[in-house]
Amino acid sequence: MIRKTLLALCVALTCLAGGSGCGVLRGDDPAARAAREPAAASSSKAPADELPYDVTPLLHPDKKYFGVAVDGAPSSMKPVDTFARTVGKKPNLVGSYSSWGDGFNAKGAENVFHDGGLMYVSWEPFKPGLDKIADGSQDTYIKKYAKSVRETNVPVAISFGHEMNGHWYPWGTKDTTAATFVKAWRHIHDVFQDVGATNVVWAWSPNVINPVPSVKLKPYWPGDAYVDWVGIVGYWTMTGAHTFETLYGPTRRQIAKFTDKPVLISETSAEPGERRRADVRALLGGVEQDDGVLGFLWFNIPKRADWRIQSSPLALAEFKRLIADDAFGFEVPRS
Amino acid sequence: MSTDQQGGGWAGPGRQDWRQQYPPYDEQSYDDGQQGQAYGRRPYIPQQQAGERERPLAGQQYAQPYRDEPEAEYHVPEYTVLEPEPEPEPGYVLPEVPVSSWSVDNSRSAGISRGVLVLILLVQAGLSYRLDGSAFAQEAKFLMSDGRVSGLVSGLGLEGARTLSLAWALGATALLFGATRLLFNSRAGLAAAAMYSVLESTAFTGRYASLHSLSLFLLATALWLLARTRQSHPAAVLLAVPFAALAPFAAYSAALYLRTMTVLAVLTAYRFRGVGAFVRGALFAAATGALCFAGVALGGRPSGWNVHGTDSALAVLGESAKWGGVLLLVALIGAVGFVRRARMGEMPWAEGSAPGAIRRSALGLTMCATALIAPLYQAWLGNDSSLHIHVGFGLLFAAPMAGLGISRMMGAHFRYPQIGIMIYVAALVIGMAQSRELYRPPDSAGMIGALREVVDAKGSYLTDDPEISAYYLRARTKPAQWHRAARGTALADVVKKGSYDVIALRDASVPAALRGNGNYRLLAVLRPSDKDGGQEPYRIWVKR
Repeated sequence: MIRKTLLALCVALTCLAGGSGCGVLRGDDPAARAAREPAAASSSKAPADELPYDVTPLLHPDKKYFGVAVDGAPSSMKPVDTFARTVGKKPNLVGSYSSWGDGFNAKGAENVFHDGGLMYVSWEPFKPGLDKIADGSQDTYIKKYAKSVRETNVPVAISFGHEMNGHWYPWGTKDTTAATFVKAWRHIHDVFQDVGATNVVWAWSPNVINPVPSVKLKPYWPGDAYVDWVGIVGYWTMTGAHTFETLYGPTRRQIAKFTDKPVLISETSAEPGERRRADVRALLGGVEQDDGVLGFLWFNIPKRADWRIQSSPLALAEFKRLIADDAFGFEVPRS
Repeated sequence: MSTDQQGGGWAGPGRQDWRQQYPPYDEQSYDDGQQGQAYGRRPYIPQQQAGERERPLAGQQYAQPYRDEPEAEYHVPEYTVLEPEPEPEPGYVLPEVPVSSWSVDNSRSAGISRGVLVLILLVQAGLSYRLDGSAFAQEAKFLMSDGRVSGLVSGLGLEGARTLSLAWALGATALLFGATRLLFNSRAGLAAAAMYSVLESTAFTGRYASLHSLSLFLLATALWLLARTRQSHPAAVLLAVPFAALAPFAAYSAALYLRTMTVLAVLTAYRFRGVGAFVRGALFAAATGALCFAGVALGGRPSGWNVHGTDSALAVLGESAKWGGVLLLVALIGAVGFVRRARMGEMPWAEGSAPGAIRRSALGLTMCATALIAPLYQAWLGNDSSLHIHVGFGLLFAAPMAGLGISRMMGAHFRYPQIGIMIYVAALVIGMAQSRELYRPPDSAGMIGALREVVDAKGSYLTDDPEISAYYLRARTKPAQWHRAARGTALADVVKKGSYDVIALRDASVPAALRGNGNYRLLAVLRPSDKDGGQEPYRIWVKR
């Protein structure tokens, strides 16, 4: 009798041990694993298990961003590579334009990130108007866009409604008010937060105030919680200012009154001509010397003028010489 | 369970040879059966008067084909019967028959019963192991600091603690089988174990790193000892006392069942000790009470057992019905059947050794009513916390009646086995669905992975799940660094002050306090990998 009881007990214990063994081997406590392993190092993890990209190290990097906008990029990285060979340094910020209604260029964002850089999207709300965006009627599109951004899980800088203080775009001073602009901006930002697209660097980028001195910038400011970078759009033209201070100074001084967010020259180039070489020197020198400036994004597309640097050999040589400085360019962190 | 003997004794005279394969009754050969003799002081031995033995069976004529065999003495020499005999006497004698069904516990049937029990336990282990995931907040709390045993258990880790819980849970089921077998019979015992093993509360508790499972095991041990000592001296009940008294200190809800145990101490003993049964009950109550008071005096009163809440009483009762209704219904059927008839009548001549109607009613009522204790108590409190675990405590006591109910519904000689199968399958499916639905620990892996990057030994952190964070990140932080988050103005205040380095909330949307806040930056929104789980995503903010 005792022998039989022991036998039954042994069978039960063996089964239990087997069962629990399977359970242990299955390693079904992912949280304990997450507490131990570095997230990026675990190759076995499904994409859904990946942690969202943390953009914090990108907000105030030690070195300067060197950006470029070229036709065809970033859907293809070939134009960027060609530009890199021309100027002798690989850009780590690649400009891209996205009209309201377009899908997020996930492929482009991945291309840039895998090349060591960061995509900078200028999101242009040509239609249906900022009031429609602000009142929530565009939420389906915004959510879809945000979801796509989140799923891409690579860092992206987004500049919504750039040059809002100018009158030349439909979202500018002519057709909409500063309050509507701020409302629309905050609404988009909130939707992105709800969806969980935290891999975005938000860039608020007015035009330099020089051509539109009467438009005050403060009413257009969405608030420190909604913005990571101040992007300033300012081209070096034949007729405009020709020093770093006179071109960007007035705008920066006005902005400094309501925020201390870092500044990126988010769209610039120098008009071909006599002064181009000096303008390039002023720009690169100004960016390098000013600790409050994150870097610049060179508009290398022929549009109304030939803004391409390679169209002026002297200016190109100066660009090559100055951009070679170690202060410019760095690889965007992998995780 | 030994169906090979089914129908024995009632074969026609032409089958005399068939009957004769059994040896004559001998008291020594039925030692194994002693445990199964629920209510008999001594084995039932029908009158075996020599004169009656010699009496011939009605209207039959016999040759003497077995004259050479030893059994031949049971048979009369040939002669013609003139008068029909109304009460035929069996050719052999069975030992004492358990009260409620037909079975003989010899070593073979005992072996079969144990084999079936092992299968039942395997199913139970499987049902528990299909539940998995990261730690519940209460599990994390248990592993970190709660309770004295945690020092030992926390060394095992979450998986080890859960496996230990499963071991207790399997032990409780096995003891339930043993107790039911002693009180009724093996068939009822197996049915009781089968019904109890597929409850959501059983699967859940067996996969839950807490002391609930241990508490159930202690109660089941006490129940088994009550049944085991039912024929012994009243003082033998003291064996059950330490287990019964310890159970509430493992999980406070066990305290609700000590009264049931006291009643059972009386009811199970009544037949054997008469007034001594009440002495037995009094002894049990006094000793358990004394130990509990000593425990409270030494270790303090367990907290949380009487916290009033705002949950609707109807909802609490409805949920209890969902989780334990099937078992209770079957138990009621068993109780009604038990009250009506002490046994199924598989062996009609065994009527004499059954307990009386009053005691059967009392036993049926006590066992069924016990299942209602936790639901009614928590409905009165309006607090449904851990109700899905607590219902299992009462159902442990109703399960023997449910086992009896299934045994009764299947009928004498397993006439309707399909009914038993149907009920088991229904209970299994319901239990599986409910345990999967209830066992949804927070999917904290992503949150822990993200927090790991931003916490250190100095910071101060606000979160909805401080226990979980403290447990998983114990290598980097101390539990005191984690604070529980509130909502509304309380949250708005701390956000405004910026007193925490990281805020991790489980919320469907961004709380108003953190919307557009300049102090904190949203680091990540982490959704559970199970999209249908109904869990809100974790949202983590870090100080800018």
